[in-house]
Amino acid sequence: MENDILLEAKHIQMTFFDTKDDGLHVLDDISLTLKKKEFVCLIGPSGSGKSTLVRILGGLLEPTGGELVYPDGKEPDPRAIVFQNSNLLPWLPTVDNVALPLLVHGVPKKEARREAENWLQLFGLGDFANEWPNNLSGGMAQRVAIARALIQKPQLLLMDEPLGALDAMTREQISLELMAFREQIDATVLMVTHSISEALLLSDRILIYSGRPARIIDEMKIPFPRPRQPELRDTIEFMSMAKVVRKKIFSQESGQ
Amino acid sequence: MLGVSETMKKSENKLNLGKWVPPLSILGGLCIWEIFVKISNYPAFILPAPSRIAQRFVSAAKAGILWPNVWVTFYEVLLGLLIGCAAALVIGYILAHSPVAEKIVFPYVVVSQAVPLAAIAPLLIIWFGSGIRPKIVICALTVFFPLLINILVGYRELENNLSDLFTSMKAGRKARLIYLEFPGILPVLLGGLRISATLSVIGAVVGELSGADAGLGYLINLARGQYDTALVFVALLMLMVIALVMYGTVILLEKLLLKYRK
Repeated sequence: MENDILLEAKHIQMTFFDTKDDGLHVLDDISLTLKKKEFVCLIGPSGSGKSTLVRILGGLLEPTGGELVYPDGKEPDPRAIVFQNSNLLPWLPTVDNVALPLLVHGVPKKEARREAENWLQLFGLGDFANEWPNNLSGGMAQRVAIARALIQKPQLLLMDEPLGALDAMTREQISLELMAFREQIDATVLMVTHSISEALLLSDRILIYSGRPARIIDEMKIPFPRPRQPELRDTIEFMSMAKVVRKKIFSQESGQ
Repeated sequence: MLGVSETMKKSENKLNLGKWVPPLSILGGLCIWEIFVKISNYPAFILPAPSRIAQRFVSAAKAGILWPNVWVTFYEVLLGLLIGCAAALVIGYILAHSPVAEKIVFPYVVVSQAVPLAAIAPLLIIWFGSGIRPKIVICALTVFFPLLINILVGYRELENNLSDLFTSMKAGRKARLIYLEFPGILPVLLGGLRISATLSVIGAVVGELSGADAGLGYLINLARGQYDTALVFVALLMLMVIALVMYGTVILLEKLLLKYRK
């Protein structure tokens, strides 16, 4: 019974043909496995096709080579994606942005809004339900985007540097919130990040990714028990683990 | 040095002044016009003074030749605008979703932009008679093409990221239309409508001038034939009012529907 695996990506390749004749090779042979209810962080240099990989895993893009295998025989559904920028619809008030995935599938407005309001409360944004997204700060907007993903009760949650565009303090705060949410959701999560401490704090497993050719060069299990506390970051174990990860990333880069 | 309150007062004064300048400018222009006519002694059938136009307005309204014609033109403009807008929305939706259809239809759109509407008005009158139908068609055509182009531009400017979001939510066509596409193109659509609303008044008059038995264009023709220049001006004034009402309605719609863009 290998049924604890949700998704297996085998030798994924992606070439874009729209610009040059010989095409632009973005992904060259990516294989990874996601287990059910696992939180995996993908960490590595920017500009190495991680967003493309997220789009493929999210079903937005058909890979030009390799395949996605679902041991259960069906695609994870729903699959929610949190993008790098919040991607809120400026013409819907905040609460309807969160409710959007429900509204789109015909859930009555009243019911969808009630649920969305609950999620906004959980993110401390209850007072902003009727604000326009343009009036939200970057951190708030990204919280709303995360709430919009979670309201779908996704089986697979993909996050493409969700905190990448935020300032350091907001970033740290939201990563702590995510850590708390981590225990409440059933989703399998794949998060792309550049922050080692974010990855260590949140994930069960880290995949270390290298650019050009894009591939996964190493994998680490994160042994810290869950639920985790913010204080974890101050422990010697956490710091030495961070050191190991850093070494792996940078030795790889200088080795090239 | 100015204190904070003083600077604020100053800018407030400026704002108030700014408010009064446009109506004062119009009033001044009318005064100059009136004085010019008095001094120059031009006969009224060449250039009537504003006061004379005002008198003619009252007498025309009393004689019952003003409001029925205003209403006919207004009706043509409104109906033409609605039909042109609806057609542009439907066809714009189809073209935006089918690159093949866009390739087939787009040359016609471009060519049609080069055809002066005044030139096809007689054709439409041959086809549809001298009633109000050809005018509605001209209005609709005047509005249709610029709106269609705006709608297509709006679709092109919709962010791919947002489209990805809807794909990841597995949203259906209807949900996409309601939550993404229509609100997404609305700003550009209303921008186009702002221009088209006044253009369609031109369309209606052009139609009426080439043959009609009612409407402000018909009234202009009639008055011209009788050297009743003051009445021509009255009709022009009414056309301006119709154009302004249409324009104002679009502005109001923008204020109501685009509240999120402060």
